[in-house]
Amino acid sequence: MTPKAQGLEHIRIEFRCAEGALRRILGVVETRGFALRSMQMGSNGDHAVMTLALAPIDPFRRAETMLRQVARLQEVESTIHLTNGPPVAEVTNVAIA
Amino acid sequence: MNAMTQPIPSTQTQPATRTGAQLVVDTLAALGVECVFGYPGGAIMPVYDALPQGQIRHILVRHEQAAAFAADAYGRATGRAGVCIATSGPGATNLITGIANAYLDSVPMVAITGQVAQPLMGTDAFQETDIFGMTMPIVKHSVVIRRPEDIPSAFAEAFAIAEGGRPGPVLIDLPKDVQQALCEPAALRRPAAPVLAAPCADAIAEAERLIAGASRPLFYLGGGIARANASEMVRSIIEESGIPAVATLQGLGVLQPDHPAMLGMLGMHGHRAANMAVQESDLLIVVGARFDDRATGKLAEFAPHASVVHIDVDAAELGKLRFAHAAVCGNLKASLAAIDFNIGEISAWCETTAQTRAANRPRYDAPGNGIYAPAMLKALSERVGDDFIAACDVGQHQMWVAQHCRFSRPQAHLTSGGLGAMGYGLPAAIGAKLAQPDKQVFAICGDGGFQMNIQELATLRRYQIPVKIVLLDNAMLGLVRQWQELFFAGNYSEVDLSDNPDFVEVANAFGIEAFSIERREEVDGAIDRLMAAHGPILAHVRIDPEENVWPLVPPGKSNAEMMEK
Ligand SMILES: Cc1ncc(C[n+]2csc(CCOP(=O)(O)OP(=O)(O)O)c2C)c(N)n1
Repeated sequence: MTPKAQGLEHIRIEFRCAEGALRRILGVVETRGFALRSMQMGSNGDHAVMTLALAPIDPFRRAETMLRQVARLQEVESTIHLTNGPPVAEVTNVAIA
Repeated sequence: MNAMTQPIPSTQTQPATRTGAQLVVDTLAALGVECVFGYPGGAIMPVYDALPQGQIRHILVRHEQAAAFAADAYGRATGRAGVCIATSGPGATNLITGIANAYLDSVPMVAITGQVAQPLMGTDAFQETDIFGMTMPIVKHSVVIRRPEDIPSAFAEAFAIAEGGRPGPVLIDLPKDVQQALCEPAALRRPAAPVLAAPCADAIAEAERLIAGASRPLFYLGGGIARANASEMVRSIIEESGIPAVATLQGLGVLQPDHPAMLGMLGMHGHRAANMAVQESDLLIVVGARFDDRATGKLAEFAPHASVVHIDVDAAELGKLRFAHAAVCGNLKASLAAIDFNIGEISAWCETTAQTRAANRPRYDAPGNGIYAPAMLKALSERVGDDFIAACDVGQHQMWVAQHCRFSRPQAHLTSGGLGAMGYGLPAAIGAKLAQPDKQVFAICGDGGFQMNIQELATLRRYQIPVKIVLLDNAMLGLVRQWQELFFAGNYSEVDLSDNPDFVEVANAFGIEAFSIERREEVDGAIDRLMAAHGPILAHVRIDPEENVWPLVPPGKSNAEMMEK
């Protein structure tokens, strides 16, 4: 896999507000190789949206790969990679796998 | 999530008001659970109080890790979630290794833990651990149930998640006050099976184009095939197309070792024919596999000439480690059915791979009179035949089982692949035998691994579970010793087990029939005795401490660089 130039990755995640959802999502982001640099979140009690700025821990980490791991979580409704390319819409409908 | 409404069958005869604990038992029964593995303690006592009133069989193990391993094996064997139960604190933490095992091998499991009462949660109460938080990275999903009336729907959802799509473990944490509280049971709302998106037509078309144009195609079979119950389908595709195949540790059993297309296991202890075919192939058709590093060796040099068609239920695996030229995501059977495996001229390739296989057949004529474990394991699996199920520990013996045993289907080979957890063998054999009582279930153990869950001999004895244990005793932590010999200049550090107990005496003390063998001519008689036994039995097999597993790809090297004996 080709290393990517390092810079901050910006992602947006919409999720259902369930106990542990935030911890779970941030855990996946970090375990899969991204350090959290900043975070914004809003919620109406049922649903939440957060945008994250992330620094990959090495040049081989790809945000798309990590986002697919995030999308597998039961609470996650959609994920969008804001930095590059189109929204990863196809990821959302396989979150149940 | 869509839901169908289905009443809990037993409620008509039950009082209108139920405790949370009673609802747990009712719901498990309504979901078709027949057998659970567990160990009681303070925070789960209300559930244990309710258990005897229900129809569910509870197997009292002697360590919670064994409950999780047994539930894991039950899940692998049946495709339905195995269930384990533990109390809060140490009971829950003892489950963790088993939960991780199920996660890494994509096994359906529901783990139920007692928790301190809600007012005590977050106060460092006695036996309070944040098991919900601790297990987050190793579960497919988890939930803390906060109200008794949520129990039926939360359990139904947990089973649906554990068994659906790519299976995995789900943890349910149950505070004690929720187990004790009364409520009016609602009808069980069973979530509809998730509808997986149909495989994308473009990906299918690209896969077909690559398959039609390949001259050296190769199937790469993984554990996802067993989870999707797709072995027969894969077998018939291989037979019709004539494409040769290699398998991962978890993919063994889709094709039998003597199948003409089967080149063997790939990877660190793979067959030379399998590893060479991968290195020469121009197209890998990867079915339900995830490019695990034990299978690929040095990833950058893995299959250097191959395009990849990757077929998997989990989108997150596609392109994770190796770029997929055709990424086919969806239900495995639906994806396989959608692809036309219309192949070009590949007879020269098939001939080459078959020749490499024939030239590298394993040899069973080891010198000396001692017992050569690979030969014994091969003979055992062939004599037992299609009913053979083996659950192993981790180490040299595990690799010998993978290399030399014949499995009629992948669900018959129970091995801790992703986690590589010693101690899996005996409890897994218990789970498998209870799931499939008509099969002959063997625990193939190392002397190190066996002692990690040796207490489960008591479980065998109590329930008279006719598991047959083959304990391959090299008086060493054999696989570690082998690595120290080869990669640490023979500096043998903390691998000697020559002061092992007398295993026959130990087994007898637990009330288990046992015998020892150490000469080659004793092997046939031992297999006869194991097969004829009606109850649990242990064969203690002394083997050469210096025997190694071959071939071997050194860690970090390409699969092309195999070391041989
Ligand atoms: C729980 C656990 N601890 C440590 C290890 C590391 N390990 C892998 S193989 C092995 C040796 C196993 O020895 P034994 O059970 O006697 O089997 P053998 O290799 O001799 O067949 C060890 C210590 C492990 N895989 N699992």
